[in-house]
Amino acid sequence: MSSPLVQLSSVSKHFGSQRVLDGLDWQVAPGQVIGLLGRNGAGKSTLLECMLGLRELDGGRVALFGEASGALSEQARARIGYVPQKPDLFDWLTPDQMLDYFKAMYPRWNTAKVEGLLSRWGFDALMRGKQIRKMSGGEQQRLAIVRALAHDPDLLVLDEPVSALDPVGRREFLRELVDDVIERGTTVVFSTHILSDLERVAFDLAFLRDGKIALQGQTDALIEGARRVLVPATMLPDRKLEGEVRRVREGAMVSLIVQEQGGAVARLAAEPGVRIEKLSLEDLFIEVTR
Amino acid sequence: MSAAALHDVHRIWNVSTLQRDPRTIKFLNGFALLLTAAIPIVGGVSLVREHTLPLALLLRILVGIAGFWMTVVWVWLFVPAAVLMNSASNARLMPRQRRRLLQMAFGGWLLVTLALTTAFGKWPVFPLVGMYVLGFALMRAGNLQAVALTVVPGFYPLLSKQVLPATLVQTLSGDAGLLATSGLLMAGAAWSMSRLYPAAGDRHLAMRGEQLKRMSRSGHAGLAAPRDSHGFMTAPGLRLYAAILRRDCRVPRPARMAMHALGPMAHWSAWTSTIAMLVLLHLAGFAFVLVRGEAATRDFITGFSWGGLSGLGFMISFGTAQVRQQVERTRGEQALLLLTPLAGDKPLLNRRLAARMLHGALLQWAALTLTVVALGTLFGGADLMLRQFAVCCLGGQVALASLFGDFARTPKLGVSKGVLLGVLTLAEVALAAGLGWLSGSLALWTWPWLVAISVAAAALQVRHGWKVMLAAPVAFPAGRLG
Amino acid sequence: MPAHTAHLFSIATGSSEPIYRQLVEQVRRLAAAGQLQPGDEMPSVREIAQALALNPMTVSKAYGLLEMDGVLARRRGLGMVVAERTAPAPALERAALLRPALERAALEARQLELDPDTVLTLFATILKEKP
Repeated sequence: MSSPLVQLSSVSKHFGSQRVLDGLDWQVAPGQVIGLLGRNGAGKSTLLECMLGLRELDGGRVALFGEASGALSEQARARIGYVPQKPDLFDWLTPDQMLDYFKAMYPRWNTAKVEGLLSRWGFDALMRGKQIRKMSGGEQQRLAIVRALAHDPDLLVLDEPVSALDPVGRREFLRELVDDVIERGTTVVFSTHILSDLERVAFDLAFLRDGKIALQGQTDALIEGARRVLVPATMLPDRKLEGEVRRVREGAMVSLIVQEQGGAVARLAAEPGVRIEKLSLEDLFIEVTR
Repeated sequence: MSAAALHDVHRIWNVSTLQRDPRTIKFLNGFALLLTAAIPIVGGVSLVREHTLPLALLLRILVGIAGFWMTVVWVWLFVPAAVLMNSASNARLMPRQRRRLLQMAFGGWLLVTLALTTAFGKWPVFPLVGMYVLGFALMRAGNLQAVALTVVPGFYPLLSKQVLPATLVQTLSGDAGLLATSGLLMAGAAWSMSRLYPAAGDRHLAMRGEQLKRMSRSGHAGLAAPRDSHGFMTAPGLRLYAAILRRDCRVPRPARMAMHALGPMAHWSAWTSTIAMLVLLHLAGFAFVLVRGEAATRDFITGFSWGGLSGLGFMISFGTAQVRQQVERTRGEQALLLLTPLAGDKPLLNRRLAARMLHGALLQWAALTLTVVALGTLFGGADLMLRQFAVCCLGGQVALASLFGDFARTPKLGVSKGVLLGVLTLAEVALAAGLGWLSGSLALWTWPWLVAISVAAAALQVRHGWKVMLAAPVAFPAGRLG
Repeated sequence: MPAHTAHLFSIATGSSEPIYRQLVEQVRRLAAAGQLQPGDEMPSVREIAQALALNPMTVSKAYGLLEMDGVLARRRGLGMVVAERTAPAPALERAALLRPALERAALEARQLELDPDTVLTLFATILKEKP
C-alpha cells in the first residue's frame, strides 16, 4: 500500500480546558474520497485546520505529503486546495481580481478549467466584475470551490462547502466533484452534515467524537452493516460484542447498535425474541456520535 | 427625577460603562486622581507668589478634571454602548429604556459641556464646547462626517471676523445672542441624539445594519457589527487600490501579497482620497484668504492651529488602528494566504509583514505631514509650519506605537491600551510644555521639544514592537492562540 | 441496439440499502422485466457517475458485481452490455428478485415465532388468492 497522503498521529488540541482533539490518529490514503462526520462543535473544522498547519498542535504530529504540516514546502502547498467554511473571503474583490490574486501565487494554474467552471456555473462577464460581497451565499461558495480547484490540487480539503447551496446547487457541486476531481484521482477530505451528499460521493467515512476518530470504514459497508438489535437483557453477555457501537437499556430489552454483524451478533440474531432493524446512515450517525 | 428613574439611570450606566470596561474606568480614576495634584500645586504656587488662594480657579480646575473624566466615559463608552443597547427590537419592546437612553445621552452631553465651560471660565464658549463634544460623540458612534463639528469651533475667530456679517456677530456675542445660540445648540443636540437612538419601526430596522457598520469603522467593533472590509473608502480610492493590486499580481512579491490579504483598508492607498480632500479644502481656504487680506490670514492660522489639530491627530492615529482592525477581521483570508506557495516559509512572514506595515504607516504619515506642513507654510510661515510638524510627529508616534504586536495572540488593540496611548500623548505634550518653559519661552520652545520627544518615543516604540513581532509566532491566522 | 442513458437509474439516499446495491437491484429488475435486452449498451461508469453525482468507484463496484453474476458483460470497444442469458433460467432469475421480500417475511415470521410449515401454508393460500 502506498504511503498515506495525510497522517495524523496522537494529535491533541485544546482550547483552555476543553480538549477538542485528544490523541487522534488518522490516515488518508492517496486517491481516497473520505467524509468527515461529527456533531456541531465536535471539532471537525479544528481538525481540518490542524491538518493543514493553520493551528499549532498541543501534541502529536501531522504529516502532509510526508512533510510536517507546520512547515510545508512550496511544492507541498501548491498541491493543496482548501475550501474553508466561510465562503465570503476577499469579499472586497471581484471574482476576476480574486482569481488573479491567487493565480499570481501558484506556479500552476489551469485557466481553461477556471473559465470552464465559471461559465458552467453562471458567472458571466457582469458577475465577474461584481464585488464578491454583493453575491449570494451560493454564488460565493461556488466561487470558493473554483478557486480551490484552479491549481489542480492533489489534495482537496472541504469544510462544509455546500452549506449555503440549495439542493440543485449541491447536486451540481457534487457532479463537478465527481467529474473534475475524483476522476483525476485527487484525494478529497470532505466535512459536512449533509449525509445524502456523502452517501453519493464519499467512498469512506470517518466519525469524529470526543476528540478521536470513533469509527471509520467504507460507506457501503457501514450502511450495509449497521443494525439495531433489540435483545432481551438476559440473553446479552456483559462484554462488548464484536462490531458493537453502543448499547442502551430500555426496560427489559437492550437496544444494541452494531456497525457490522460479527459472529456473536449473527448468532444472537437467529434467536427467537430478538428483533433486528436495518439502520440508515443518519441513524448510524446519531448513534455513533452520541 | 423619581427614585425609579434614578434607579433606571444607575442600572443603564452600570451596564454601559462600569461593567463593560472596568479596566478603563479604574485607569481613568487613577489618572483623574493624579491630575487633582495640580490643585494643591497651583494653590501653593499662588500662595507663595501672590499670597492669595484663588479659590475660584482651583474650583474650576476641579470641575475641569471631573468634566474631563465624564467626557471620556460618556463619549468613549456610553454613547456607543447605548447605540448597541437600542436595537430595533429593544426600542420596540422596551420604550422606557430608549427614553432613559435619550435622557442620559442628552443629559450627559449637557453636563459635560457645562463642566468644561465652567473650567474655561468664560460663558461665551458654551456653544463652541458643546459643538466640540457633540462632534466627538457622533464620530464615536460612527458618523465620521461629524468631524466638521469638531473643526468649526476652532475656526470661530476667523468666522466671526471675516465670514459672518459684523452685526450678526455682535448680536451673537451679546447675552441674548448667547442664550439663543445655546438654545439652538441644545435643540440640535437633542435632535442628533434622537437620530442616534431611533424609535423602533421599519426605518430603524433598515438603518440598523448600516449604523452598526459605521460604528465598527470608528473602532468600536461590537459583536453585532457586520463584516465591512472597505469601510469609508470611496470609489476612486478603491480604483487606486485595484490598480495597485493589478500591478502586484503581475510581479508578485511575498510581502506585498501578504498585505493584500488584509484588504484595502489596511493599505496606504486608503487615505489618498482623504488627503486629496484635505488639500482641496485648504487650497479653497487659501484662495478665500487671499481675497480677504492680511487680517483674515492671521485668524485663519489661529483657526487652523486649533481646529485642524483634532482632525489631524485623529486621522494619523486612525490610520494604523485600521490596520490592526483588519488583521483581526481577515483571519479566513490569512489562512488561505498561508497555504499558497508564494507566501513563503512561516518564519519569514512576521518580518515581511512588519516591514510592509512600517512602510505603509511611514508613507501615510509622510504624505499627511507633507501636506499639512506645506499648507501651513503657505499660510503662516515657519512658525505655523513648526507647530503643525510637531503635531504630526505626535500623531505619527501614536500611530506607530499601536502598529506592531503579537498578532497570533492579540490582533486587536484593546480599549484600555488605546486610552493608555491617549494619556501618554497628553503626558508628552505636558513634558514638552514643561521643557519649553524651562528653555525660556513656552510658545517658542514647546514645539521643537515635542518633535524631539515624539520622534524619540516613536523610535523606541518601533524598535520594541519590531522585536516583539519578530519573536512572536507566525502572525497569520491572527488571534488563534488565546 | 438501443443505447441506454444514465436516466435508467434512480437512487435514493438515506435508505438502509447502499447505493451500489440499489444499482445492482435496478439492473437485475430491468433485465428480468425485459426493458434491458441482451446486447443493449449500458451507460458508461463515468456517465452514470456524472448524471447521478456518484463516486465512480461505487458505480464500478455495481458493474463489477453484475458482471460477476453474468447479468452484464464487458465488450471491447462498447463498454458494458447486457449479457446473453446463458446460465440462470429466466424464471430462476426472476425468483431471485423475490428474495429480499421473502427474507423480510421470514424475519417477521421468526419474530412472531411461527413455524415454517404454518408460514408456507399461508403463503400458498395467498398465492392462490385472486388479486
